[in-house]
Amino acid sequence: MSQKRLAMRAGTTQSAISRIERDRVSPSVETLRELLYLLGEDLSLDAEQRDFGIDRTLNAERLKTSPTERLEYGMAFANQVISSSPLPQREAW
Amino acid sequence: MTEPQSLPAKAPEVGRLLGPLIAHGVDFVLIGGQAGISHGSAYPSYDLDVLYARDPDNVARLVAALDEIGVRLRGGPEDLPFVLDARTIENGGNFTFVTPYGDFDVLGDAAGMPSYQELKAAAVEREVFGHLVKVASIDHLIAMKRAAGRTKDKLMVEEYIVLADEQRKADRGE
Repeated sequence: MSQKRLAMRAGTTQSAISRIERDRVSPSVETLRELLYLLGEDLSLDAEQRDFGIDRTLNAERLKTSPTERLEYGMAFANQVISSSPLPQREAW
Repeated sequence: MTEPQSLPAKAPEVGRLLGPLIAHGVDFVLIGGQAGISHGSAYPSYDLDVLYARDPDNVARLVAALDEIGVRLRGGPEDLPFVLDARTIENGGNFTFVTPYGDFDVLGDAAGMPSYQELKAAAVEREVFGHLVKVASIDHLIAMKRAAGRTKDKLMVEEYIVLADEQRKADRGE
């Protein structure tokens, strides 16, 4: 459908529709729903848990340890990284 | 903000840095990577960050604790004069130190944090190396990491979101 026809149905201007299509304006969800309705379509929004690529089973295991144990592990891990890193080390105290 | 181009000689000895703060009654909240680790983060951290209350009495206690630890400025010129006293802390706010126990950042404020009182009110109390320490809530850590905006901070934000979710499930017994 042309921008002009959609604008006519929506009671707005062709330039207003054009601004939305060219990403110059971000319409509200309600406006988007109305425009899609006028095109004979329904807006469908969905939210689902995002996959960050993080191993949740490892996190769950770590949460079984005490904060001190987590920090001890963190310190040991940091020292391991420092000893194997190609980055220069700052002078010690 | 730039990514670090060097690393300290060693990771911070968290217990040794926190001990004098507790002993001197300093009002502080643990933030940064070590706070994240105490919440379960796997990302290594190469310094210890604390936020402290800015009232004069607390600044005096902080100075006594820092004096006991032994601190000098990190990253500044060798000949940069630094006098550890209440006036310096009150005038400076945020300090990055090197200590015998590793790098130690002592901050009066941090990007993305709410007021100190709000941060402290939401903090969780955790036993860390035998000390009861207030640790910033994971939600406030997320806000501060978002504000810091470095590559590593963005990765940590994602991990913290997952950790918070796991913690919520664990609390519910799921």
